[in-house]
Amino acid sequence: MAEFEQEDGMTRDDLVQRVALMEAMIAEGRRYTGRNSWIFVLWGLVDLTAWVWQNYSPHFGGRWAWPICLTAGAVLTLAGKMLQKSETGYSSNDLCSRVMSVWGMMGLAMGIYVASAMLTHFSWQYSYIAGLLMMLGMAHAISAMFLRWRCRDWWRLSTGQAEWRSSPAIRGKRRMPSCCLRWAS
Amino acid sequence: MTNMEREDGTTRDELVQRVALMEAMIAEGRRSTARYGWIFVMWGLIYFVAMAWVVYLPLKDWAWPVCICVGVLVSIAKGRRKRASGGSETLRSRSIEAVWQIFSVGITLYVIGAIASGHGGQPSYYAAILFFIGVAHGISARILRWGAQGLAAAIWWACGLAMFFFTTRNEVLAIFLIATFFGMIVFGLYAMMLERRRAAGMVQAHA
Repeated sequence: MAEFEQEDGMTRDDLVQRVALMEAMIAEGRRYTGRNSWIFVLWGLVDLTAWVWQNYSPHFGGRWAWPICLTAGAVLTLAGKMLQKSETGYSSNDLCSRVMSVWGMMGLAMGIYVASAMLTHFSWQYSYIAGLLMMLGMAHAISAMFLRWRCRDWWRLSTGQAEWRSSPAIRGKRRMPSCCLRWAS
Repeated sequence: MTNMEREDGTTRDELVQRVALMEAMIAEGRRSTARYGWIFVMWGLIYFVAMAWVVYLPLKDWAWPVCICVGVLVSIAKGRRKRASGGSETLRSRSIEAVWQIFSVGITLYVIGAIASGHGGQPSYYAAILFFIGVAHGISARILRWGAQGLAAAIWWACGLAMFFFTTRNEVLAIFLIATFFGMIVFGLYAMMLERRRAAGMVQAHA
């Protein structure tokens, strides 16, 4: 293909370089998410532990299950991130910091939302749990769009919808919205 | 300082270029948000109209669906016109667009689900909506390193927090109005003012 020049003076080589740079950034962003995938596993286990503690050992401080597990999860995440950053060879680019912004803001908002719902005893409401799932779904979907990573996942958004469907108003009386808790973890 | 070379072969000049590029991208992202400042103002006014309809007019059930549909249609139409008239787009401004698109899809699914299942009146429902808007503002603010938008996010989160503590109809209405006024309308006007100032500066520079 012959060397062409656009109206704005950008040559084909410039364009190829830019595309290569963007692809490299996206690949680095995905690797960054992969390096931090332990956080997803950790939070899955935190949710599962809290749920099992609350439902199967309610007499051993069951009402403190969620506050304790969530606090432990936050502390472990921060400690793990600090450890990871102190290791040699840790690198991140602009796209990585954007993905981190998404999860950082989501974590901050979720922390305030969960704490205030627990303080005011509204954490039993279906709209509360659906709100949590929607927030997680949005963070996943935004990261997926940044990283052009389709497998991460629109299904999280649909779990928020599933939460409404599991409510007594729609499907008879149930004690706990277990389907969404299972999916969340 | 001499032209030093790092271990990975990157020279100082290259690093300076990269930083300059990133700063240019952040500035362009902010300008892009400022260009769309009218959207924040418009949605703030739509919320006000919808709430006034709910309080003062008949057919209350239709207030929010009608107002939201009008808002979506106007946003799409004006957005297309702006795009057709030409405007520079960077990776960062596209990221901001992605944030708000996903937020719109998420909040629509949430509201439809809540209304269809009859859970639309719970305090955590109102709080969640305010938190969603706050998250979208917060992510944009972090990406653009823009304190003003960070303040808008903080307002939405503070009002979302207040929703759990003040649960009567009038209190919910008042909190929502405060969040809409300061977090949408005032922020949108501020963004529009920045854009106007920038446009005036460019005209002066050309003259």
